[in-house]
Amino acid sequence: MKLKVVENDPVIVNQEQSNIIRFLPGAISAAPEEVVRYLAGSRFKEDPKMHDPLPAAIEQAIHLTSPVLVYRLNRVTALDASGRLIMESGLCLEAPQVERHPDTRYLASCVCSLGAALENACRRLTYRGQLFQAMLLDAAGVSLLDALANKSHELLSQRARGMQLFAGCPFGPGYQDMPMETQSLLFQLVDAGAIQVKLNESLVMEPMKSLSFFVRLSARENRRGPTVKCRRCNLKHCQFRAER
Amino acid sequence: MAIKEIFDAVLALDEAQTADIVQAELDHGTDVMTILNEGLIAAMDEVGKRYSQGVFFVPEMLMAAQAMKRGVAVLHPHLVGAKARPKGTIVIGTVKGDQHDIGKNLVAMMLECAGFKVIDLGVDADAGKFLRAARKGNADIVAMSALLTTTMSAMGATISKLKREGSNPKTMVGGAPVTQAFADKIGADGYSPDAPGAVTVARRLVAK
Repeated sequence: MKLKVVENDPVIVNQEQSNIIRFLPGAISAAPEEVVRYLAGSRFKEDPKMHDPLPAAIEQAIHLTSPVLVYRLNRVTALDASGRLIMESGLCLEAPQVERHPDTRYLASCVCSLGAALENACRRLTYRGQLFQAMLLDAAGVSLLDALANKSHELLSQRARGMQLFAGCPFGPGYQDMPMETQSLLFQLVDAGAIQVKLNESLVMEPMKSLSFFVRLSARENRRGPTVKCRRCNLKHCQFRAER
Repeated sequence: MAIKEIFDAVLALDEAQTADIVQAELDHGTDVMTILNEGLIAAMDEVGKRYSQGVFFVPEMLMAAQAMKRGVAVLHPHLVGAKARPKGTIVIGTVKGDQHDIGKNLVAMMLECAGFKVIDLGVDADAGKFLRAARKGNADIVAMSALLTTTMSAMGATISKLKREGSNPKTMVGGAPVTQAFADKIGADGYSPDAPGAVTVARRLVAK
């Protein structure tokens, strides 16, 4: 197996450490049109009956969330011929095609979460027969989670710049050609338990309003493909797809 | 025709008007089952049709269901007297290992609006839980939901267990990764990609 060895870089990174970032209330917000897209799909034209419940649901969702990110940088020592990123720890990750780049220096393993309070509130609303309110609140939660992932990526990009590196686009288990089973590896690479996120035997994260993803930190800027998430997704006929 | 007004009020997503017209019709002496079947349930069938046509979306389905349920709440004391029977009994749940329930809740709601008795097991329901509920409720149908490829396999395991234990309800499956081909492969009797479609499938299965 021919390996391309990655050059040493001058920035020393403590790879043992999982870094936790807790966001202040109001740091993450949801755009109403995004909430509507997650509730009803991208073809939906907003109904005037949504004018009152929509902002209230967003405000309630913000109040119920405790946004937090944990990430860990793992040094990449090689990219093998099969497209696997070999890490200093000995673990290796089969990266999606578009992420196989020999300039990768670090792999950031990330888990972010809104906490469990919002989904518990949705469940209570459902038990009370208030399904519309439950689904609206859940859609607001999805939008907030998406915003948290974007914010997390911004922070990683800043960290990368501080290391004279470039952050790639997030990619994760179950997306593009990355198998869902990679989730187990991701959870070995970062201490998600530190932010009370666990993985069940079906690889579902609990709380459910959590996201996991990898980001490559590279010596050269080499984002391949579109940066808008929906345009990078394989599900071309998804009803929630942005930018139709 | 006031039954048509009930039908229209549900489609207009107007809870208060639906309840008012249902009450007015009851006061007028209109048959309870006629109000239920030709007014309220028929309106929800139309909602399902409009969803399939891309005219209505999830918000309209939910608001129409709320209006319909307001109407049913007005009818409720009279339904007991009319000895109204459900169209069938359905046990529904999200399978073992899966915590997602939004889609399942939507399907349960539409099935109730169509006149089925729904026994909702919630999430993370293993095969044994489906079996016990089906037996206890004398279910006509067991309906399963899964949102992930890693949890879909539990559907096949549940169907196998139901058959092995001699339990004979029909089975139907749904959820984002589920397809007709998968449903056929695991021996499910029905599959639907969406909530209104699930009502059509359920009606077909109880008619057999």
